[in-house]
Amino acid sequence: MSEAPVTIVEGNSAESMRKFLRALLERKVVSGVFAPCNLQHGVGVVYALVSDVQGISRVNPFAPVMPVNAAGVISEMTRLAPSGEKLAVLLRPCESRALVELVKLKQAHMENLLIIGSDCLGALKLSSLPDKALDTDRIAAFMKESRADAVRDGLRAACAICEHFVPHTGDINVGLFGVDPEKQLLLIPTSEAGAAALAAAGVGSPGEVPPARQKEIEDRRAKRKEARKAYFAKANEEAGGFAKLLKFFSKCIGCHNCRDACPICYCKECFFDSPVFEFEPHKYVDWAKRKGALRLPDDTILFHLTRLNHMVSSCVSCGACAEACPNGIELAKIFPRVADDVQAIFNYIAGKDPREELPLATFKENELSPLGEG
Amino acid sequence: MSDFEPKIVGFFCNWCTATAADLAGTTRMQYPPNIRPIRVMCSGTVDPVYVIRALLNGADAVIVGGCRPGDCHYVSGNMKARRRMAILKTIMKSLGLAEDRVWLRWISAAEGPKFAKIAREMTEEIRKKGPSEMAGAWEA
Ligand code: SF4
Ligand code: SF4
Ligand code: FES
Repeated sequence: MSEAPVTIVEGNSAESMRKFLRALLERKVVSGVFAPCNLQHGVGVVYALVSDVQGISRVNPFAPVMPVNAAGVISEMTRLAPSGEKLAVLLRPCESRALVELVKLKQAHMENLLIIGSDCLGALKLSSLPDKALDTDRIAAFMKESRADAVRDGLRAACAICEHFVPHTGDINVGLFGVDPEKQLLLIPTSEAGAAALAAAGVGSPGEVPPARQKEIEDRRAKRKEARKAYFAKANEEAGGFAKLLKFFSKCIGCHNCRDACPICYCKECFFDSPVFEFEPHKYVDWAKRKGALRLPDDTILFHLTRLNHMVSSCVSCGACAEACPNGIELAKIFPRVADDVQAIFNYIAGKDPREELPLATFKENELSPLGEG
Repeated sequence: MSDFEPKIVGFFCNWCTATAADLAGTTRMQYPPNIRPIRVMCSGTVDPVYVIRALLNGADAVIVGGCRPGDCHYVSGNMKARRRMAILKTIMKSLGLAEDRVWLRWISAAEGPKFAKIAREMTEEIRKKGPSEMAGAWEA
């Protein structure tokens, strides 16, 4: 992109961000802003589609909270058709990657969305959030700690091992690395539409991408690569092999929350909820007799292995599954790890490139040798 | 261990491998009876869930048989099957499960002898490996 980045200085970065979003609404560049917002009657942060300029004061853009993977919500909003009106959508990188996958899966439309992708400092486990609102100081402290990779408590495992903390796609990249977000907000246009929106909003002044940015990103990525490797090696010790896999899932109650929270698992009727899995009573007795006993609800491992087969080539390692598990099963030790291995055989990184075809939607005549031969 | 008889489930494409299996039978070729064949319309219809279900419910191994590349009656079902099986085997490997108990082979309708040979090879190999630990776990 030749267009210059824009710098906004308005109190802290959240204030600057709100100023930009407010301008987008006021100048009718967009008719709505999808962003994390403070609840009015609660202490939590949830996603909301804000249409009224006043409402922008609720937007809490950098709260370390990811209530759900937003791609699932955007898919709900745009599954049938593209949004009729232009909407600004604030997304974390794992959310915009999931959205790209959902578009490929024909479950969402990105036309008419102005994707504002933020550099990501990670999110805290919902269960670890305090009962009081996350105030500006607490958020600023988190951002500092996360920049230094020094968040001690509550960081989601998926975030601690994430290598994709800078968005691959989108229209505007909110740069947090390489700048002091307490002093200024850096908005980098990454598409024509992004540059046009920045110009139309008319806030801030021409800025530049500081040279320190690339270095900070590269250092962080290198550290994360190591952390990911170490985490997966530990996971393999804990859950590698059939017996250990059973042990890993011993607390699984078959609620399928991991599937429901997963942005990629879009099927309206999951195979596992279909009549295929309704059996005559005698079947259960037969199975029990064959194995001596039958765990119920049944098909624990069948469910997880099948879900992996159906979706793992699009898994974006967001960790929403782990957040959703009522029994705290550390699912980031399984799904993202398997996803790395599966995506590697197709040289694919889910959600990175909208032009790349889904691994399951294409093939090459000559590939994967010697599979099938012999 | 010596009297262990592997149970192998075969998902065979109607147009090729299933016909090859019939041919091997009608021409009285010798091959072990360990494979329980299930006829499917194309290797591309085999969802990995069938394979996993077989493995978790008593099969010591699973073989999927399809038409040679370029010969699939539905143009590219076998090519899609190959991707699916590659994913399944990678998942199993990643999780430390015995992915070498899942085979994919192209066996055309005329290849009765090839079918018999593969049935012998597979039975021998699985016999050597012994019973699958995934086969009987009641809590899976
Ligand atoms: S499996 Fe888990 S980590 Fe992967 S996309 Fe789904 S929710 Fe995110
Ligand atoms: S959310 Fe947890 S308990 Fe529920 S099915 Fe998934 S792993 Fe099992
Ligand atoms: S018809 Fe035989 S593999 Fe498709």
